Amino acid sequence: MCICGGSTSPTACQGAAGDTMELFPASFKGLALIALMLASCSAGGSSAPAPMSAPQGQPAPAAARRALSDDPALDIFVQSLTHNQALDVGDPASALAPATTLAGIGAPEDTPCEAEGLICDRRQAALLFAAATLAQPTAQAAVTSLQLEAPLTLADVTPQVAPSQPLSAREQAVVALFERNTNSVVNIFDVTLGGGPRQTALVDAPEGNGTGFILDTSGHIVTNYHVLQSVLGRLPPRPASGTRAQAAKVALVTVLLGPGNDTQTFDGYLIGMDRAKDLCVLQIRPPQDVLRRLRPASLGTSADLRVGQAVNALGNPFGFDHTLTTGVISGLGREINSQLGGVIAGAIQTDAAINPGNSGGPLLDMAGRVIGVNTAIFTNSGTSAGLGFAIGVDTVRRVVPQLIASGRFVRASLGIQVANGAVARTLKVPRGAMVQSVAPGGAGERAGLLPPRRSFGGVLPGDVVTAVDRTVVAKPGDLANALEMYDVGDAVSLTVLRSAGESAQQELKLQAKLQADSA
Amino acid sequence: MRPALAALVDDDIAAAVFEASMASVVSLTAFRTEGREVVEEGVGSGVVWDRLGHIVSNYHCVARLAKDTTGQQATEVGITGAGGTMRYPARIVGLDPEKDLAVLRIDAPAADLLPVKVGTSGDLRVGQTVFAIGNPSGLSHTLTAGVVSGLNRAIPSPGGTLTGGAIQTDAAINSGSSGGALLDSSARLVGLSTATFTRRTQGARSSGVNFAIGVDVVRDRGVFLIGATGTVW
Repeated sequence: MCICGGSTSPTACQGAAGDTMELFPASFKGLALIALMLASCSAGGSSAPAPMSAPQGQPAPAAARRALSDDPALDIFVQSLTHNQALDVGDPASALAPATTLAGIGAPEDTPCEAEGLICDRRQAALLFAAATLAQPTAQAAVTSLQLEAPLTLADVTPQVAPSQPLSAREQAVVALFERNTNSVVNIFDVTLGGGPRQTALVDAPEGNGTGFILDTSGHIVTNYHVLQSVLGRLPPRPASGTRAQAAKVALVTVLLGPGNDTQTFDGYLIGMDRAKDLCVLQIRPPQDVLRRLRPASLGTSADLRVGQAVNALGNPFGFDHTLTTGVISGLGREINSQLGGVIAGAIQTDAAINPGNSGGPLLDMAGRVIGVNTAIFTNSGTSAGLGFAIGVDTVRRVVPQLIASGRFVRASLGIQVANGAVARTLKVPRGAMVQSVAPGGAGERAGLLPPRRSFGGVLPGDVVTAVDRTVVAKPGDLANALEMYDVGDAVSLTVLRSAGESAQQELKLQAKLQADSA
Repeated sequence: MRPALAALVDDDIAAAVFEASMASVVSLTAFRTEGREVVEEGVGSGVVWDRLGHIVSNYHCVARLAKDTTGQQATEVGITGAGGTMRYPARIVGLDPEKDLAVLRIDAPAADLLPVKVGTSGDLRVGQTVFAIGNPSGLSHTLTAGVVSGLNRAIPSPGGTLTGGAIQTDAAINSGSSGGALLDSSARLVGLSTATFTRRTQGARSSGVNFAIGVDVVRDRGVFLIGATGTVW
């Protein structure tokens, strides 16, 4: 609406006049109304009505007329009214609300239009009354409706904008954290799936749309394996001696280079992947000037996190790019049962909303450091229920350098398969990692580990590993987690509980030399 | 009073925002009358806009009332004050399906109407704290907190088009919250809670990806809707 107070710019008023036109439907004499409004705006401040001497509510008729006729806009208004023969504007005896309103327009000549409320609001009221009058078959009806309501102006129904207080320190910290880190977060789209990166999400995003973050200024991107599972699952294992030049193009990576919508999309080449850990490294190869503008994320550590600590997730849930959600660390040391079949230990649980599309994106602490890679959610609705899981960044720190160097993660392994929690419970093994099978010729066999075997009473459970050197193994996933601290060829001492029949158990120490194993 | 606070929120700010604003958030209840039977069809929220009795809410909260030709539909606005909840029948003043906005009017004493403090949405920043007050699942005056997750989002409107300029937040918004207030830490209205993004097969349960119409849109369109029917003049 064109509120003249403070604005005498014809441009501003013209724009508003367009809006004002919409306010009154086509039944009006539209052209007259435009003239009315435009005139009022351009006249604002320049032709103040003549002074009124009478107190408000008791206008001297002559003075009222003078006031009206000095203002060309109101002149038109008066003409309209008298044309309808419904109202004698100058007659104080009629004591009608509209007359009062009109009389109120009178004000000392030098009162500026900007003066709070008085002139322009009332003029506005008069003009709008005129418009309402034109809409009514008889002006009498309009007058009646005005009589029942207190004289109102547009200002009564346009709320004033209240001033804001400055943001609290915590709010500013989150705002700053977003601004500093949003450029490190990229949108990843599986190139083999139909369609491509979209600007907005209308429907649920299919698998193949996920998030990643920039690792370094060479253009390496970290994401989850499962974001690109459709294409990665079909690739042959990369030979250890494979060169960079042979890297397959697997994704479209959209990078936010600057503020606003300054994004560019590049091909993402597969550098390395590890299915068991659900991690994958891509590389984009943009021109030098873009490479220089890349903002890598900074990695933190996950060993020293605390439950209750504030965290922030950045990602592309449902395709809404660069979404920030916040929460706390709800739990530590969790195990993610990866949809690819592996168990990822040392995971961080959070209630920051994580949804499909967030996978592969960073979980940041309040200092803006990556402490996890958002990977999974526990839900029966398919969307966030406040139970989200991120691979700890310490795992990422171990796995990613190998993925970059050789394309895969070679883990120090015992060459055994460990029973998962359900099987162990069936065999009444409450603690530790129970050996389910031992690969022939592997490190575990050479160390003397025994799988489940027959005995007189039925089946004896396999050896249960309860510690690797000094690291306690309480759950099945703890064993793989413990072994991650070692390199291929390291010698370790395993504490093992061996069943000796009839619930008898003996504790043994077995020595193993870890072998190489990759998923 | 049932505040549910997010971790990053200062308790005293959350409590202050709630106390300042809860009186401006009303409940909307949609009824259908069939002969003698009165069936409650749904619950939503609304925001007191001015002392004249104008209430702003979402179009989809009153879509049934808007389309009703039989006169069986009715909507009631509930204002909760110190003396309990007063209920007033609401009539539609204006509708904007493209923006999912509706303006209603009730005849309540001006003293009982506490208009919300209005802010701006054009200068919001991702990361700043926002609070949603509404009536999810009929739990009156529930406060949820979160941050602005994204800005200028495009979401589908009941009018069938994409409506832009929506604020994205992770403050929980569930069915019943829509039409309620989204406030900044100064207790100013910055948006009208409107929708949550869900999988189609599930109910409207908050996924943490929630949307509100920016108050700049509400202010422009709301005033237009009020003026267009000439109820004021």
